[in-house]
Amino acid sequence: MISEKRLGIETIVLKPGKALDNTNAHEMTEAICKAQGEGFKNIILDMEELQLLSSAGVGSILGTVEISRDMGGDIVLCGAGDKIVHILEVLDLCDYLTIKSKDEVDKQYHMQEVN
Amino acid sequence: MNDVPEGHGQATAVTEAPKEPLERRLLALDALSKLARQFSAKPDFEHLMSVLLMTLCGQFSVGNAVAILKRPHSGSCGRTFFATGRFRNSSGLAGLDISSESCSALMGGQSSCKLKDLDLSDRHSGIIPVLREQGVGLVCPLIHDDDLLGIIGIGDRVTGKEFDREEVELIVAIIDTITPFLANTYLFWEIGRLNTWYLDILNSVKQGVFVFDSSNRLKKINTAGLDIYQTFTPGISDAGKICGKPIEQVFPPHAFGGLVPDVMTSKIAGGSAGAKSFVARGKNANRVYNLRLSESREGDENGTDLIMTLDDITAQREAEERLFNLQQLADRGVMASAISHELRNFLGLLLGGLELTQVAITRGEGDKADEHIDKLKSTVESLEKFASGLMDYNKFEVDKQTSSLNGVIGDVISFISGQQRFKDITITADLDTDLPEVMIDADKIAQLLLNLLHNGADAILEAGRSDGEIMVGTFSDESEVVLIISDNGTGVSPDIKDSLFKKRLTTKKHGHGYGLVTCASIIEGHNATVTVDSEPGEGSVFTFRFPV
Repeated sequence: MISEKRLGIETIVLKPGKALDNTNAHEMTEAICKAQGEGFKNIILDMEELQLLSSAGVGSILGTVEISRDMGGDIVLCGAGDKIVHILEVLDLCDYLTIKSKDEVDKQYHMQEVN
Repeated sequence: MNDVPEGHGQATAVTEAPKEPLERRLLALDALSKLARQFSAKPDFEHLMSVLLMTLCGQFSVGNAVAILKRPHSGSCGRTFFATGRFRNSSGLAGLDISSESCSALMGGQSSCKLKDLDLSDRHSGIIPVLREQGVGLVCPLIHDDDLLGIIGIGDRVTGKEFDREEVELIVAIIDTITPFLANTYLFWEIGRLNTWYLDILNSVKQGVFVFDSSNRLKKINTAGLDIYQTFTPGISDAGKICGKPIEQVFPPHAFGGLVPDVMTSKIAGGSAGAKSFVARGKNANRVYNLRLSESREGDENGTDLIMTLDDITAQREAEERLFNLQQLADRGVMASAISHELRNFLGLLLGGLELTQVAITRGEGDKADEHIDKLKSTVESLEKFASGLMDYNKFEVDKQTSSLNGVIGDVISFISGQQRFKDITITADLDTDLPEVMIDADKIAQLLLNLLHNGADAILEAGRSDGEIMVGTFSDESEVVLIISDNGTGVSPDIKDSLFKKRLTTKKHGHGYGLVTCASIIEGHNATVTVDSEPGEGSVFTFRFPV
């Protein structure tokens, strides 16, 4: 189950829960595409609770990030733990994807307003 | 990792850093194995394909992947398209021809190929430029049992790095591993779609379709069938609640009478049957249905399925009834015209008789005048009989007595010979002197002769012949007395020859076709037959055969 919280008209927070894998990667793709379709150019993936990221989960992000960037925004991976970051490092994606800490995102997008 | 949700394995394709190509291959295959296990329980092909493409994207750090699949049994034109990223909205990829010919040319015998390495100048100008243009960097065929199912295309890596040889081999290994599973799941998916398609077709027909299994329980019903069921058993609107009911409950006797026993009898007798109509009694109104029975080739070990098709023909029956009433009114009009026609014949006879009488009186031939007056009396008697017959039209009967056909013919020719109508026509009688007497109604045979002779005269007049001739002849054999009437008038065209002696047919420019109505009744009343030989422009020969 992907939960969502809207921060104004440009930014939305999507939270995959504890795992983003085969079982919900498709759901994540649909949630991101729906948000993009509604005009949200900034999509924050709250990964604070995420413990499992599979290839399919990574694929759901890679398949949608360019669209947000074309809209003038981005998909931001927020609060990812060390294991998740390590996976992204192995895939050589840390420079390609925008990975930020919870504090950075709070400051930039005022996440506290909705938490 | 203790909080990982139940059901999620920890060994995913990328949860641990692959240090060697071989290790990475094993991890990738392990990830796909999990994918296969997940979807084997519920073969949702669309979901599987979507997750597979995302997995490939994640494994190889690409944003766009596409699968273009041929649709089974639909020829080269049917395609199914799944994609991630930018490829999702690529109509250029969705429309690609992935027939075996184009793909075998594309692959050139390779299990996969990097498109940038292909030289377009010497081969494969078909789909490669499109794939390149859309951003596909690597193509792999999906081959199962030597059949090309389709292709998987992978976009460029987001990191900008090229695929190395080991990675290409890994992609091929992944796709080869997953292809049999994909093929099977695809088949399930296609069967599901076909089932939906067939149901849509079934529901689109206006006839109610009821399928019963070998134990006569309802197995399938279409929308129109459900409407029929609800007409007589209100309250249930869900087909699922009706399926499983025995046939007696689907067609209860209070509404459908003996339908079910009839159906069971037909089923035992062999199943399929032509349409049979029956009335179903509803609370507010009755409905009329046409029933067709057929057997399905499907069934179970106890027998085949029975298909009942009910076509509501209530409106059609009502229309037919209205038409029948209109036809009755029209028949009355036909009858009135026929009566008028006969009256004119009688009046013609009377007029001719009067003319002959007048001539005889003028010449002082009293005997002949008396003779003509006797015939006039006879004609008036016939007219009286005709009028009496009209009082009881529905009981058209002939009053047959042993009579001489030659005598009737002689009388009629004698009557008409003085008429203006026959003034320029030669009438020849070739009568068999040994002709036996037959059981006939002399007055009605006279009517028949008059009609035919008048028609012959009109046909000669219409042909404009100066040598007009009508011949009346008789002869007999052991079982029949034969009457022949021929003329050399306009004749009858072949296309209407068989329609003569049927109501409302005429060959005359100003005729109405009602005279032969009476002739048909007279022929039928004598159990006689008639044949017509005619050539347009040459004349006609009517042959009547009376049983002795």
